[in-house]
Amino acid sequence: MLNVFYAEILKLKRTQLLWLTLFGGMLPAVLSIFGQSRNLNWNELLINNSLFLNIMIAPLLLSLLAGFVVVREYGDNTINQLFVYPHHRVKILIGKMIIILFLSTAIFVLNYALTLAAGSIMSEQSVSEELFWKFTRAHAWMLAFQALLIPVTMTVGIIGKSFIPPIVLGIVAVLINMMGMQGVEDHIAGRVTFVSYIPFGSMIVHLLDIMKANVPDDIYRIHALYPQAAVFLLFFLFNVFYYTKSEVHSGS
Amino acid sequence: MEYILKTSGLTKKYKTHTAVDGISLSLKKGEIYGFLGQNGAGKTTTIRMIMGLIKPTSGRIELFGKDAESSRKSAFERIGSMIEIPGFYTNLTAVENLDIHRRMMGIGNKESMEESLEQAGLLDARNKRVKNFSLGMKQRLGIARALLHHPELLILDEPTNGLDPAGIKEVRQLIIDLASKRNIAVLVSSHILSEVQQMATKLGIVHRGRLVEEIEQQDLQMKNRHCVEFKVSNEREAVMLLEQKMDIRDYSVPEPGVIRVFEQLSESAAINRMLVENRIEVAEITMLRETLEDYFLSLTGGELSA
Repeated sequence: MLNVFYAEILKLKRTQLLWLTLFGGMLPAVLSIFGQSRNLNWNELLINNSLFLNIMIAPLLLSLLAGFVVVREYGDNTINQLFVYPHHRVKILIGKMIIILFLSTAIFVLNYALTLAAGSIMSEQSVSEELFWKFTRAHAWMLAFQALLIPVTMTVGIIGKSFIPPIVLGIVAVLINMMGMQGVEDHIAGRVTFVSYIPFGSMIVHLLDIMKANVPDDIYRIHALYPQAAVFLLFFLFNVFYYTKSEVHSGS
Repeated sequence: MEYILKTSGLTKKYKTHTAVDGISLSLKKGEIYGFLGQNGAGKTTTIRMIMGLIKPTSGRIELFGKDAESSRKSAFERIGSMIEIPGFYTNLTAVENLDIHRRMMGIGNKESMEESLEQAGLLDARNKRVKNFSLGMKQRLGIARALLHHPELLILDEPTNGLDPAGIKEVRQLIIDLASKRNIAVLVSSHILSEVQQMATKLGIVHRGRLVEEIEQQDLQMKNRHCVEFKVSNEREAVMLLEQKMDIRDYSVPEPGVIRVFEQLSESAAINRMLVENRIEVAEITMLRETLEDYFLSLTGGELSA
């Protein structure tokens, strides 16, 4: 398994994916910092950063990233060779999932570290322990939820064998996220309930809940873990089946 | 003798279209099996089925004496393959691509990368990114990758695609050397007759999904000879006369009443006179100029590249 994983890391050498990871981690932090006045408000900074990252950047970027890892094997015609290695195809699939998780983690860690570092440079006041742990918890949850969505993004890449389906999925995810956030901001209980059942949207409701950002208590919503975990299980099993059973024809 | 590769009744159907229809072939150690057929004849589909990339509709594949379905993992450790135009990670160099292959094959020895690059004539380009490679260089790198783990069975699908004449000759010699010196079994597909004819020890001709002919190298050469065909009243007596009176030893009797003479072709008038003088009736004399190409074209309906 280690060889499979290491081979996946080697494949990323000199790709633009590493720059995208760096960019994805930096952009929300930079945007949040620029949104601050001279008197930096740590709570606002961390909320804005979390929203930028989880609503806009992460869904698109992680979709693109997962798509790249999966789709390039078809695009570069390396799938012929990949599937004749003496490894079970499930092992190869898991290797790819791990590398996507690895890059996703890098984006989240880099983003959080950069935000804290930039905030510390700009403000004389350091972040309070309470805020630090609250947003560490929020980041950890969001990373876990994003990780649970990796199989969905892989599925659209595997089936579509093109970068377009993962990008479309990313755009759809952003729209769902914005719909969820709008629902919370405008106190539309029905929409919040609806969105909390949909993967992607459910994690935004959860994020706003953790941050205590205007989420009404009087609406029914389920914990984001349920829709995300259900989607993970469903699409992971589908990918295992598809990867194991699929045939590789000329030009596929 | 144990077969390295054996297929029995291998068939692949797509709804109404049958891409491969009951192909049975076998390959032993040290043999080079030339898999010849026009584009779309079913060569690549057969190879893909052997390599587990396509599931056969019916039929059986044996690799190293075991059923391929149950022993694919261990079998793949002993097979080197290059299917169609080989794919590479174009952002990486030749060596880095081979390093991925080395790790995936679980080979500890890094020197094997240099060795296989040298065999494929790519040592000077080892640190060049694959995105800057020509098609011919990619083919060579595909061969280097296939050889990296010292396979016992080499499966090469159209390996000389994109190579210049010198490259084709080098690859051909490399395949011959691998089979003769390392005793590797090689299955090589092509749509170019002259290419496989020069290296194959056995030739399988596939046409519209069916293996229409399987022929050994020595029999292959026989197909490429000119001869004079005599239709005679008594072939037994005629061949005795040919041997005794004309000292002709190279002849064949393909069917009763027909003799094909492969030597002294310019003496056909003298042969005719001798037979008639010895009361053998000669009904017809024909000069047969069938070449190997003609023979294959007759099998494939005139659609092979010579």
